Amino acid sequence: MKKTLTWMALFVILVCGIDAGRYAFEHDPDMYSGFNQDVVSLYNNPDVYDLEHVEGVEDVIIAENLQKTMAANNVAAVVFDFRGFDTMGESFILLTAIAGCFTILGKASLFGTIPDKKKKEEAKA
Amino acid sequence: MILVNYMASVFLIVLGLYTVCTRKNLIKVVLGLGIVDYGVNMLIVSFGFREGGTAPIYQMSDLLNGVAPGFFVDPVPQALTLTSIVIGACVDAMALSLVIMIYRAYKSINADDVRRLRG
Amino acid sequence: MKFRDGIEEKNVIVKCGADIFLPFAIVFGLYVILFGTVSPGGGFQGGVIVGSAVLLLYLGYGLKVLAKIINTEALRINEALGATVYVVLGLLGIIFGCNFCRNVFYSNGAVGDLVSAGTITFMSWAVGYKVLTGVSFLLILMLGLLRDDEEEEQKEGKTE
Repeated sequence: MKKTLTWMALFVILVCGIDAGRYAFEHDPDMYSGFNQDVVSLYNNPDVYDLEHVEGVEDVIIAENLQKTMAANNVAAVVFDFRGFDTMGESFILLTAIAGCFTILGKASLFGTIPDKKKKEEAKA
Repeated sequence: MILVNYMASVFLIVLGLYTVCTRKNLIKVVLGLGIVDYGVNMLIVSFGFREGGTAPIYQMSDLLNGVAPGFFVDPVPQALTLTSIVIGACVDAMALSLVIMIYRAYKSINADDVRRLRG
Repeated sequence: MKFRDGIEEKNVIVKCGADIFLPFAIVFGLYVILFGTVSPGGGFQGGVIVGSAVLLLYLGYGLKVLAKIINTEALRINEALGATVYVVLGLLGIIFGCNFCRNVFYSNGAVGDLVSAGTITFMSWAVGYKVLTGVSFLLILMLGLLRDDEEEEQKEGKTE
């Protein structure tokens, strides 16, 4: 009984997911098609950009990137400058995970002795 | 906007959910948790694709010689996926540490044996 | 199983493979961290590549050599140092101008230079250093659990 219920639930989720994927493929939103974005002119004179005909956040970021950061790598500029607060939170989660693993595994690793070995040595002596 | 990417991501998410629900070995459950993360990351990156676009980096050799590269693909979903990958790795590390300590205490990793709390 | 200076010598082929690939891993990882703003890559990607050098060292030489070479207390302290440097660089924006994580000096040179991006370059270096030491520490922590198996193998090897 439980097995058939699990299979049915997973099948329903799969069918709904495939339908959502097909819907997202057919009705993609009309923002930032990118066809009116000339990269060569943006590199040669980065001071001239107009913010009146924008089509989303990505258009603003790519148009303003060279003038505000002078970095050739757009992804690094987005990660460290436009969204630097998220990167700070992600550094903290790395620190927390390593501290948690050290707390859980502390005695059994290279930094301590295992309690079973201590009992064996005490039993022999 | 690639159709195959969307189908593959949904298939990976459902496969990970199936592994978490029906497997008894604890290490397989942790692996299924990781597979859900990989599927979600691929879905996020696939949302930012534009047809005919190239990677969002100014290449010095192309621009100085005068070859026009066209326009860029979205850089924002790629930046958000970097954080998501690191979070997935941290969750996997902590879950596997818990499985190691469970094995040392109970001497087995079958989910049916470690159900009851011992007094 | 051969013994040399009291430490068991593993496969010769694995040891030679680790010898060849170890400098490539370290140098390529440091290149990806340093040139984070000019070529694809950055802090996180380069840090994980350097962290794989610890794994190669364990596969080629065993656990005792690993514990003798690498100072794990220094790794743990330097990881916190990397996080602190990142937060200090973010507070520079409040000291100079208006908001947190603001690019305060970004117009020293052309676009393709290394230090032309301002605080982005230094933040990338700090995060790369933090991920480098953090992943190495995590790997040593988890590989140290195999201490019992290596001691049993050494006892079996000596009695044979």
